[in-house]
Amino acid sequence: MAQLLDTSRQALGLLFSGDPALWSIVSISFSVSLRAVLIATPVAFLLAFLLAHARFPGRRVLISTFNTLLALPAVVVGLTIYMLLSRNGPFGDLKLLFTQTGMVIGQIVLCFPLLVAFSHATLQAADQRAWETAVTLGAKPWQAMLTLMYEVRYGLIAAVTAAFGRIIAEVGSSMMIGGNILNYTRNITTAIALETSKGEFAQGIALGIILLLSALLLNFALSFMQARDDAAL
Amino acid sequence: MSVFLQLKHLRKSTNAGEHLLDIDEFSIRENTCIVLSGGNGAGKTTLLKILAGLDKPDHADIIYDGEHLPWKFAQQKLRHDVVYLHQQPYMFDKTVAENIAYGLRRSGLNRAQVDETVEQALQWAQLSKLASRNARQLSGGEKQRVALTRARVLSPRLLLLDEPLASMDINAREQTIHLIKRLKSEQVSTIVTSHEPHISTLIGDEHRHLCKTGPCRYTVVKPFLFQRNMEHRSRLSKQAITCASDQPCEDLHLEDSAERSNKDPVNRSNTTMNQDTTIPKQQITAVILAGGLARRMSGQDKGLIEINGRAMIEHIITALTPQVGNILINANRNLDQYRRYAYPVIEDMMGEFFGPLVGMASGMQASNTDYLLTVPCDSPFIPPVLAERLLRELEDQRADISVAHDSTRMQPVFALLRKELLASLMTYLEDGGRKIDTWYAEHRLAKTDFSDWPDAFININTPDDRENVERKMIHQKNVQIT
Repeated sequence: MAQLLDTSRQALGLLFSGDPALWSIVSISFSVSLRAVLIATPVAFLLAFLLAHARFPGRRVLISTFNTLLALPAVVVGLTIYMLLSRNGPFGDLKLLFTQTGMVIGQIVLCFPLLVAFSHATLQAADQRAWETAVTLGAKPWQAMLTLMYEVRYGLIAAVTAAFGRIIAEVGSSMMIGGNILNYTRNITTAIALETSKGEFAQGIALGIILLLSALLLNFALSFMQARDDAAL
Repeated sequence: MSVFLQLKHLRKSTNAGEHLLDIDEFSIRENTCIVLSGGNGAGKTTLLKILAGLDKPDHADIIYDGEHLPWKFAQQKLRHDVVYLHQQPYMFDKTVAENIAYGLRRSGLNRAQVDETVEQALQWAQLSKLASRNARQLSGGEKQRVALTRARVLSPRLLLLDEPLASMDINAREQTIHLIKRLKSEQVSTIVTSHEPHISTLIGDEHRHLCKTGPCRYTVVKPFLFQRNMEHRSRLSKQAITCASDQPCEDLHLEDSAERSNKDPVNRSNTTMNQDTTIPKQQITAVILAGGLARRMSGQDKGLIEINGRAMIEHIITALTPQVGNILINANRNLDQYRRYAYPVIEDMMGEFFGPLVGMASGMQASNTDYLLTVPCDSPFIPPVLAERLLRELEDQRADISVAHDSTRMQPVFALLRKELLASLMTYLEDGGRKIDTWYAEHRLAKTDFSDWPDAFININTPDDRENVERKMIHQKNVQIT
């Protein structure tokens, strides 16, 4: 217990001393995960909308598939993409293994099913009248779709938050695809794993604190936004 | 006013194959307000959604502005030119002003034009004070007004209002009716669905009833048109009117009654009780209910039973003639004998012998006056003040139905009804209702006292009754002579 308190004190010291190595790790983590979410979200929303409102063969199968993929372990994604991107793999020529782009791909694969499943549930439950009202007032189908998404924006934002939370905290795929290269592909979670194995608990805990704080900040921002809108109501 | 939209052979089923709509023809004229009634599940909303291009019919020939369009093109036109309003209008999670601007923003106008139009529209609907409020925060009536305004700024050709007055308090209702009337004056065609009998006279030019007819068949019935559309009415009255049963009830003698009333100039004026204290008897059609089975008279047709040498119905006609503008006879048997009296004879429109309500509905459908007076065919002592007194009470109490009361009980077949009740009555009958009291109870009822006319409700059910009545009649005559 004494050791835990001690290392925590050291961790806070590290955070406030502005250790450049530590902040480099943090920025890599955020940049990779943000890119992954930004790329995955529009596609996932569109797909979710089609799953919720269009009728085509295979729709149900797709929905079940995405719901199942929610349980996809990060290491399995890491392993699969590692095999695909490795020199002998089918995409070996792209030379994406042990790069940030590779990590982004892995995280997209991880968060995409979650984005689709959550936003599908939200759009499915949306008031049918919103769509009809938009269309009857002259909106083109894509405009009506955007309107509908605006109407259920809190549900969609929650989906994005959950997706971001999942990939910023995952370690398996980042470790396998990124390779934990300092100042390039070492992010918060892979760094924690490394420091812990070295016995450098202080740095690990400092990084853990940052991860938690960022999650806290994100959720505060969201609930603040919603509260402001509710007050306007 | 020309027809701009016509749908033929409109069919729509659920995914499970259950028929929702099966309409042979539905056309919409420019600048016309159609009130569409029909029971639950008759397909009113489905029809509106198809007209708005929101729902795809299984089959329909759509003729728009004289052009026969395949659904894909028709849908585009309809989505552009028609606005559908939900029963409970949907408000976008934005301010009132932004809600009203929604369609305009997507119509290619620039920001300044949109703002100006919205500003004017807010004033038009007296919503300026609410402009910056979130629209979801409004009351039901206010939402309805926002929805109407939001539709109006797009200048649609056709506006579809799904039950716009349902579940609204009186104030909101009046404001909404006011707005709908103003929309009418702006050359917008409207279709309003409603369970309410009143709304048809308040805002409608045409009334159409959507009903389930037999297994899986739906037909649009045009029971009547309103006074102000005389030209349509006389034209329509010559059309065979399709209705409930498989056999169309063509033999409604509408030409007859139309001619009869057209000859009389008084019939054309919209006399109301407030402006004129004399009884507008031309606005009353009496229907003599002679469609019963007369079980206790061993099946004899009661209306034709002779009393002192004249058929009972003759006594009744004599009593009614000075009181009303027109008389109809509702009978299901011995039609030729009844036709001898030179008044239109109408048969029950749904099957036979379903009771007095069906007779009333048939009478209402065949009449083109504001009020319908019903009397049974077996009560020969009709008071000479029957119509007048019933009408006064109806108007004084602002009721829907005025029923005679003999101090101990109600006499439900001696009644004066507003013609707008037809929609409600049809709905009730379609839902399987047959009981006169139950249906009356759904409406504002005025009980009109006739206790000073003790003989009025004497009816003949047995041969003994008949003898008593004959004696009484002779006695009355003697009293009058002396």
